[in-house]
Amino acid sequence: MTASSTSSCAPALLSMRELTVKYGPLGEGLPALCNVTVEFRSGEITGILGESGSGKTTLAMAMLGLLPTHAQVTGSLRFHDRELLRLRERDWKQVRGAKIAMIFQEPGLAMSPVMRVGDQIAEVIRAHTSLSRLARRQRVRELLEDVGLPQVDRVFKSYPHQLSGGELSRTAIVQALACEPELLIADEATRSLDVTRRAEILDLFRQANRRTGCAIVFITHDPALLAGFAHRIVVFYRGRVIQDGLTQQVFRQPAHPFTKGLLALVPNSISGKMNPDRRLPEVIDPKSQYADCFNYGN
Amino acid sequence: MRYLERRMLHASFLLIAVSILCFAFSALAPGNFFDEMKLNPQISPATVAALRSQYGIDQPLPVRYGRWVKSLFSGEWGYSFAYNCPVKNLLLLRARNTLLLTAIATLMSWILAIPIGVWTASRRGRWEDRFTQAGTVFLLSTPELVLALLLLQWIVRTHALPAGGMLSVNFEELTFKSKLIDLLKHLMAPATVLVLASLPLLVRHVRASMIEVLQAPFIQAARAHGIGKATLLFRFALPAAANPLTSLLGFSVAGLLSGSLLVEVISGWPGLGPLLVEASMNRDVYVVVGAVMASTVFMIVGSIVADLLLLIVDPRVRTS
Amino acid sequence: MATDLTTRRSEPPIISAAGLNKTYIQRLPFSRKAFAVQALRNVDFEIVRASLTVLAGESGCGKSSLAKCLAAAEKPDSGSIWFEGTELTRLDGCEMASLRPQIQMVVQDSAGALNPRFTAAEIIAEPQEIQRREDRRGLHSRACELMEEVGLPASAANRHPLEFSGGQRQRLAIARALALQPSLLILDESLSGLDLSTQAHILNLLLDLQQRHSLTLLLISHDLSLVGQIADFVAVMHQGSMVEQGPCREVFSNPCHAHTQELLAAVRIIESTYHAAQAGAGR
Repeated sequence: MTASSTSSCAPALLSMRELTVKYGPLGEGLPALCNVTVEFRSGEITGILGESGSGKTTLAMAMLGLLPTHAQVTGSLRFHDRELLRLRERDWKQVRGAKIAMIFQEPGLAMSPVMRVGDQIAEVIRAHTSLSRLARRQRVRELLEDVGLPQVDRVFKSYPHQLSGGELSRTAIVQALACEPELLIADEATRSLDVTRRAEILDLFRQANRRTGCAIVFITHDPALLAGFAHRIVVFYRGRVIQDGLTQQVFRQPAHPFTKGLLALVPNSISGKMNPDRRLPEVIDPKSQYADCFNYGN
Repeated sequence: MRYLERRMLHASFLLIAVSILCFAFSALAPGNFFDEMKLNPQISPATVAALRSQYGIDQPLPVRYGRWVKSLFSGEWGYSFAYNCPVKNLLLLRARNTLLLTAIATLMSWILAIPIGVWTASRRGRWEDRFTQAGTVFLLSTPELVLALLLLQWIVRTHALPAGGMLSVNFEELTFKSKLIDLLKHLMAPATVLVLASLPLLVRHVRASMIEVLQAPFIQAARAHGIGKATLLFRFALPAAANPLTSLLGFSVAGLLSGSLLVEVISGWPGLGPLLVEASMNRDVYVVVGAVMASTVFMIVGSIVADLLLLIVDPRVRTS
Repeated sequence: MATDLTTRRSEPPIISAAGLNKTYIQRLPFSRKAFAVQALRNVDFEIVRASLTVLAGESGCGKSSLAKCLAAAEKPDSGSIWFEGTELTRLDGCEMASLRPQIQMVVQDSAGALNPRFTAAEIIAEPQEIQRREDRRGLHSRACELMEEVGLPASAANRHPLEFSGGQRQRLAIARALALQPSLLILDESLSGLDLSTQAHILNLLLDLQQRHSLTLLLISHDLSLVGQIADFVAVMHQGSMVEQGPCREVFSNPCHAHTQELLAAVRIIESTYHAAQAGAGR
């Protein structure tokens, strides 16, 4: 195991020990997640850095109990000292949305195309509270205003296909934060947005973190997004944690060639100086000799 | 409303074409209504010829067609030789009987198909689903005729329901409540056959559409928000699955007049079916044309209903 | 070897467009209302031969519409497009067909652009088959050659597109585009949706291909962070108009238009935050 995280006074909100997820009837093939031990603390923004196939989506699904039935999960996943892996479906319903919420990669696809956006958010509130219909609609309107949507009434009545990408992202954030969860998982929440919109959405996350104190797990493949945003970074590679530490630490001392390669891609020549050999630095090729080696640094 | 205007125009062209074709085919087939009379030795050929010219059967085809169109506007819709009355009276009465049967049967089919389809889709692969699938395959492959005859057999054996017809002999003397019960009793057998014949197809389509929708990312996202199963199925998934089902509903409406012919004939329900069969065999030309036109009108209405429903049900079509 | 930028600029551009206008009309069903969206407003554009040009701008600014007009997939309402001295908008079907192999396009959604029932080799062979270039055996070997060139193993020639990863599918789409030996390759947001490292690999691949075949590349992207590091020229669009064009070095050091500044700012903020974080500014 590589660099350990620094101690923090904040209590552990969600912790997983030796979490392993395998697919396949006999568990053959590479596991999607292998012996993952990570802790998420309340009030902290943790960045999960990994590419497709690194197991980050499996991690998010495991935290919400949404893994397919044929997945074999071993290890421990505790939320406030409550073991989640053996939770029954009806107990999961109380956790999902209310305590742990998720924002999916494509917000346009994460909403029903035939239901008005306001109604969909109200349904989430209805599933977890006993507010009256009027109170629910009022709450949705307040939340939409809070995220800075200019035309709240129009957005409330719209269908997902009538909203722009930025509006959809904000609506997805509202839907996830509607019941004030303690942990928010954002799975590539800015991937489908233009670069010019990304900073605004990251701001919204920061706001939510500061105001409600909810912990955020921000999953991304782009290390540059985590700068100035995440307190800690956990780097995933092929189902394992290869580094876990404070943001500055990971940036200054990347432990694995994969991390090094990824960090080298962050632009440093847009200021007008051309890359001398006009090639981008190559990130580790899975077929290379380093691909199967997980232990690096200390 | 440009769309509706266009559809109306197409519909009128279609109706004209169908009427011409119907007329032409009836005329092309050899013989006419009065040929039966020729076999009767008591009626002289002169009488037959006189009757023929009286009813205008010896006129050329376009003239007959013109007279029929005129009778459409005058409210008679042609003349029935066998019943000796304007076709309109016959048609309206029989169509009403048919619609009573088919409307109730179609409604029951849809009311049953949607929950069954939704439930089997949510239980996909498990024994409830397999059992229902086997049942639908069995019903689909059994001809309507066989179902009707089987049911009739059972009725005759057990005397649980009236064996045919629409009303009992003493219908007029019953109280209003008894009249209703009598009608329902007579209706139950043919309606059951119709429901059994159309239910499996609907169930399979609802199930297929729901399965497709249940795999969509927004269903998983809704689960991730903690939305309960019932809400998930009926408020989130079903409306999204309604799109392909609207055209099915259109077909159901389209077949209201024409889909029950066999069942009506077997169970003796006095609807459009037996009338059409009888008129075809008697060469009662104007009745045949009238009945076919009525069915065509329903088909057209059905397809327009399907398109309008799609607009109502799917906001993407409405507002994109 | 790539010739110097200035000498390339003095040559006639491989493709140039002048005064392009394109409006899309959307009609709502059951109503007489129609929305007109003007995707291109009087666009003038040039691409220097054997260069890598990036067309940037936020979504909805008209980049894809411009790409489709340049690739002759759509006809502009007005204006002219000159490709190697021929005016594209005046050509009829036959004449256009003979020019099409020279301009090829790769789109964003690779899964949607590749026929899921074909194998990889059949996908690459399809354009050649349509143009009736070679016989069956030649097609297959050429397909394997192209696959090796884009970095896919030839042993995967019999796999179906959905068995490949996203990055591999884009490589397959690029191989198919190269099958007809085009002189201009347009990539419409082909890199968005891919992981950073995959984007880097594919960009390096494109640079190699450009050197080997003297290809002219037009990359359309809303994200300048990677592409901006290696491109020669940049063109920025905003709400249907071309607001700035020029060599990367000049435009990036001196952006004139507000929107270009916005695009660059988005990249630079991230860049500076990252370097600050790396330097331990939070300590």
